[in-house]
Amino acid sequence: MKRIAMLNLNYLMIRPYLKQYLLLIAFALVFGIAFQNTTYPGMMAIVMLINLGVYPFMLEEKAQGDILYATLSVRRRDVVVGRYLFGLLLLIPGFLLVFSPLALSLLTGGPAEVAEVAGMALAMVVVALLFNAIQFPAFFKMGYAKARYIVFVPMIFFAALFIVIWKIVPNDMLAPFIAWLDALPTQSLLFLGAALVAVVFLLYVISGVIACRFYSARDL
Amino acid sequence: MNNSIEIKCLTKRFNAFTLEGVSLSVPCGYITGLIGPNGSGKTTTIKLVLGMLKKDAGEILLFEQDSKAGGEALKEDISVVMDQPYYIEDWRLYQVEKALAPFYPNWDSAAFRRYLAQFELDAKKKVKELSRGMKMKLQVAAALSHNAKLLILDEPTSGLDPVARDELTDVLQEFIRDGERAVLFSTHITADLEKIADYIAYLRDGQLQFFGTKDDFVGAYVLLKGGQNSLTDDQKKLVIGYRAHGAGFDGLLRREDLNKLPGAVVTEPASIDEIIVRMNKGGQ
Repeated sequence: MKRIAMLNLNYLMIRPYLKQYLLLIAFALVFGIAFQNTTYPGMMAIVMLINLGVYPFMLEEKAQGDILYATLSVRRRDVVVGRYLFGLLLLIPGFLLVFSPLALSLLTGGPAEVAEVAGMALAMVVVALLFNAIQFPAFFKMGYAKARYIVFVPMIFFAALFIVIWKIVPNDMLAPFIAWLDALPTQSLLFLGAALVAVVFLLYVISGVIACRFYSARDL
Repeated sequence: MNNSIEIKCLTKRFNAFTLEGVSLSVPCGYITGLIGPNGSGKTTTIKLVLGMLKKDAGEILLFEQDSKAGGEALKEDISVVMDQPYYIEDWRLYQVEKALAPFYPNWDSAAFRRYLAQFELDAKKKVKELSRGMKMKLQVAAALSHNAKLLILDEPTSGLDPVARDELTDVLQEFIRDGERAVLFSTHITADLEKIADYIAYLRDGQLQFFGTKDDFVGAYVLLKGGQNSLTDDQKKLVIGYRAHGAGFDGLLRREDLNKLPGAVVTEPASIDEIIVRMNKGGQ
């Protein structure tokens, strides 16, 4: 019950700031539908999820929410679990956003790029959960203000690694891998996607366990 | 149950400050004032009781159970009012209730609305639109709306006008009326405690200087005034916070030392404030 209460508290924290996303979502949808392109809503969903996942940390830092939690009838572990559950819950509006062009397309009899939308949804889940898995423990250990720059270090590292692989590794070395992916039957692609999500979810859970230890040991 | 809080030999070490071996209790049916100058360890003690800080040594019992082992269930019976509310500034007051109520099985919405009305707080207002006094009242309204048995207040009256402070003291007296509930009230504005406290715990430099009834605390000292040269050097050493001025001297004296001084000195009852100020100056 206390975890549900924490979920509710997280939602109430970001609620006053949700409306600023409505306009951005509307733009993304209009562009996505107008240009028959799922990238806009997908990218918007990723940005939204990453931002909204961090919002409670930012807001509680400003309001010294940690002190509020300590006065409430809730264990520190449930504060952490509530935040991680909230990160998962945010995927729901993300999915709605990613799949909305497809749904509209189906309703209006337009072309339905199911594979493209599914790929975007997969990318959204992987990126959002990975971002949160990296950031959340640092925020729980040090607080938002101290940790916000530190969490960029692993992200910059991964981005740099990606660029290095893309730019330095010769195309003919990557080509067989891309061709292999292209040649995979839909069923195998789905399995691969599910496996990727499972791995990322496992990392998310491990991150939660680490965050629990950090937060439980912290003096507030 | 006799005590809602029992602290035994509580120690917490920081780099520049140590709370050392503090032992005190907060009996049910009474208001206990936790007093001392800034930096004396009042907030540290409260943070340790609430589990915000990890203790280095000692024991904290809440409702006769170990504070750590009792966990969240114990906290359902505790209300806390801090020096400022730690709510999201953009929340409206009815959203404060929506955020807090799910944490307490005994949350009483009708009581919360009643207190908002009593304190003249508009539920549609945002937290950031409230004055300091109104924010304190909002915290008190929330604190009194889940049938808590223990109310902990940490410097709630700092910066409040006398009317708001008076309202708060009335609320606290009402809270303990049934004899089953207790209040721990940390403040450096001791005039509030002068009116309502039953027990006093006096901290200085992280050490408990006194714990007992307010009457014992106030009765243990007298204010001393006298002319120049009315005390010998040895007698001056008995005076706490000895201050010489043009007309003579003044200071604080333990009542038990009164018979060691000449009859020419004048004594007056000392207030809590005067005792703390003198003891702080005298370093005793």
